[in-house]
Amino acid sequence: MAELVGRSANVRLEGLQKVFGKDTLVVDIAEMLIPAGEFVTLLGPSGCGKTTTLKLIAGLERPTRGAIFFGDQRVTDVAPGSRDIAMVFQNYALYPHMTVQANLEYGLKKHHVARDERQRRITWASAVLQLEQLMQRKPRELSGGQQQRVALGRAMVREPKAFLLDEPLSNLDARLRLLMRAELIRLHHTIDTTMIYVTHDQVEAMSMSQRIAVMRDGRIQQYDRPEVIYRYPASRFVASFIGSPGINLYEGDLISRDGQLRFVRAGLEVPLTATILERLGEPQQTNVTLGIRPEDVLLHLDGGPPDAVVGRVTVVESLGPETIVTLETAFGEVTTRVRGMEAIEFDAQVPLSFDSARLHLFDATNGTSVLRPGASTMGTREYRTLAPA
Amino acid sequence: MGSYRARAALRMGSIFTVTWLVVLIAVFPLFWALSTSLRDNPEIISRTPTLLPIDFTLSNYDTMLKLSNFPQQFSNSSIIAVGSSLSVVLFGSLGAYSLTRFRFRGQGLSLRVVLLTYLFPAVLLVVPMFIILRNLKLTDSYAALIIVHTATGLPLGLWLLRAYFQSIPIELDQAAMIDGASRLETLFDVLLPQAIPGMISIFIFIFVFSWGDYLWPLILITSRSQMTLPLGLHTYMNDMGFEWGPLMAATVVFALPVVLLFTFVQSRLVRGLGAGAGAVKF
Repeated sequence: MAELVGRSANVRLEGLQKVFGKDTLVVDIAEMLIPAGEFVTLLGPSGCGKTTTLKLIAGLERPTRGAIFFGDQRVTDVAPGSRDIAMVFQNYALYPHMTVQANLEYGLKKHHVARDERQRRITWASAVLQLEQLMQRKPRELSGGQQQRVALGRAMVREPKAFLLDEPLSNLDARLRLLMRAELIRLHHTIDTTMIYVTHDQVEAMSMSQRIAVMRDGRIQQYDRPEVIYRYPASRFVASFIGSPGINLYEGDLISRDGQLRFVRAGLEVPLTATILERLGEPQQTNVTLGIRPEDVLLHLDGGPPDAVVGRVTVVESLGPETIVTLETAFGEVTTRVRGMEAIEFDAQVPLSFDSARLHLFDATNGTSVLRPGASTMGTREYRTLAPA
Repeated sequence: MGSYRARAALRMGSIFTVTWLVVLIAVFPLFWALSTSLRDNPEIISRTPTLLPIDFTLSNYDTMLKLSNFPQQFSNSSIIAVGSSLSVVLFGSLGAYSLTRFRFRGQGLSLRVVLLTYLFPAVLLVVPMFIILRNLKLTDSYAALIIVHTATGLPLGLWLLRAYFQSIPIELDQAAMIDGASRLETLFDVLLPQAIPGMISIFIFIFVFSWGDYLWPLILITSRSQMTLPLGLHTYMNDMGFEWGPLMAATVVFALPVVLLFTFVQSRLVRGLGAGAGAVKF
């Protein structure tokens, strides 16, 4: 739908704050720009303020301080119905007494869209979402997946400047969720409208988004492309929230010995290589947390290098394409993932080492990364378009 | 196996007997009124009662319609009962909407005060209510009874409809707002259709209460032309004795609207009662 591209607007939040009650700060966003046409996800644990942020953008909540812009237009005081946005709710919020047709049509009638145009858009949306056979049904006569598609359709026919989606997949079963995930990616590609998606599921965020804002306690911890967030997490929180199984974290000290900087902890000594050192700069802090993702822990099943640490296998989870192995070592528990289905015995003593280029170091007190992002990072204010316009 | 089956049959039999006994006790007076209304006077006062009339006659209905003010009273009662029910449904819905959708100072207190007035015995309000309505020059009018019935029925209506509105997810309001509906449009297009069963239940509750109320018309109505049916029935019991035939005929017609109302909307009412139980449970 080429005519939609021009309508899609970027969304800008400035100094946005929402206080509940007397002094509970639930949203505190200094600045955030959601580029027109992008699929951006607000990701975080429950209670992190992501849904409130979405409701602020929708106009369902009023900000305590700050401003919201759609393109150049300041919409902070504009009513939700006049913001030209559409929203998909977690429980779909379809009007129970109306047919699918009437559900799709209601918003268009309220926006005084002419009858022919209404029918054109409804025909288009019902074709894209395969709703043609369901138009005369009531919501209670539809399955969860069908209701989900009607909710999406109700948003699509509005041809809005932005789609707001509040955990739209969380009420579906696992198989349907995968299906709708692909469906949403395809839909975004088809209509090319700005989509702001809220979820607590890091897999959904990683797989669907062009950009992710990881939120915690109302603040954005990191806002970047999924691969950057995964590869260069800005804090210990982001590192542990993204990725499954979770990142391995060990507290220890940075100590210079024999002219080389090392991470040292009882039972573990990791020399820092040049790739890490050039991102480290001047270490302010000697007390740090070392993070290493499971796939960056190398198991040496045929006997490893002489300096390798040895771990005792305690859990083996074979998933088919990969196997997740948990080992007990002198410095703590280590989770690793290895490709394929390796024959790994319980209680086996296996040498292991860390991929020295893939270490993460976080300030042990406040959790922020002490490493600068690597060369491939996009700054949060630079944008690269993935799909040609 | 055999004894189990026998015990099951016995249990079913006793449940059946008890149920029908209760139904009989409840229905017999109405049946007796109907039966009496279809007999002539000698048969009514006969010392050997029969279950069914021997000489079937409609003369009592004829007398009732011709000699009494029945049609006028029937229409008075209808206007007052429908008026009170509609007004409770209207104010109850608007009140329930605001109580569930807005937060305002004194919200909890106002709800408790409303409940308190419902628990207050109506008889204690007779004198103050009469004085207020007399000062407003509203006594002896439809308005007086509609106001009083609304005032006494609204607490129940408000609580029951509040439970209905609470069960409607707030996301429906939000979806309608994003779709561009105003607050009133949201209420009428989206919320009220969800609350219809509750509104029907409340309508019936208030209708039955207002239709059968004897106390308030007795106090507030003085002229014959404004009399409601329950007051009218009383006129058949006068110094000259009891006119049983016309009285029973009037009773049957009096009961008719309520019976019809229950017959046609019974299933809806049962659902409403279910929600009503939820309304007083915290």
